[in-house]
Amino acid sequence: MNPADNADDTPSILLVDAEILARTPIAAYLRECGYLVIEAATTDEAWTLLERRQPLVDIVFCALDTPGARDGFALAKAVRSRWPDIHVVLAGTLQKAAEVATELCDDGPHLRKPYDSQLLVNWIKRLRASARR
Amino acid sequence: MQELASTSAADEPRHILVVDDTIAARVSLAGLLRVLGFIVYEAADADQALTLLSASLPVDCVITDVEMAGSMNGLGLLRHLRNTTPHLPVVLVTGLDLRPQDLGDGVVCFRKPYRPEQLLSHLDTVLAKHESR
Repeated sequence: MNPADNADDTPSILLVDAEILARTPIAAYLRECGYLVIEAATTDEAWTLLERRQPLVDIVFCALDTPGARDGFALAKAVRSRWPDIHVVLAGTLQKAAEVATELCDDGPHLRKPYDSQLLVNWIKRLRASARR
Repeated sequence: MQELASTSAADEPRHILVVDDTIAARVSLAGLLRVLGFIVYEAADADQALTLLSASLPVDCVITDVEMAGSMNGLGLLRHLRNTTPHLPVVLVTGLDLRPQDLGDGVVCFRKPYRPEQLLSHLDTVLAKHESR
């Protein structure tokens, strides 16, 4: 068994963001909401994962400025064209990404948010400040 | 899986940083470790790993691939961590035959394909040592 498989129908999110200090807290938040979260650092990584179809992805959540052969918009367009059943959401700012994450949690498997979007933003800002020291 | 779980993941969840630029390998190992109760951070290269380590996230052990693109490969990351955080356990995985002198004292390298049980058993050992320091 591949433990990353979502055989138990847990909804899965492919989180695509190059900035590790934003991606890691958002991924942790979404996991607390009950999602299976797969992390990709580039759109190329995301596409590789999507083409493998293992684990199956329900939602692609992508930062607009993610590097790769495609930017976030192009990845969204390609995903919608090839896999129309996959829901794609884009975020251009940290604030927007945190809002998207909390909205996803509203519909998530656990039906509760671990904390609100501003706390998620604050956590990411603290990590960034800590890393700059 | 149950058998694996019985050898790992103590009462307090341990934090593992997985570094691999091959998304399939990274997702697979990270997924296995999460199933076993570890809290797992994922980095797609050494630079992301160092950024994460420079922030205030707790990391108990780093598992890194050796052959990686970017400013340094896994051996470069190992050397860097030996200088900056000498007590942080590092485990290498590689498809290459590495000489013991490439690794340094106490560093264990798993040759791909390795058995997950072997890696997890070694993790138990290094985490117990790390905790007792």
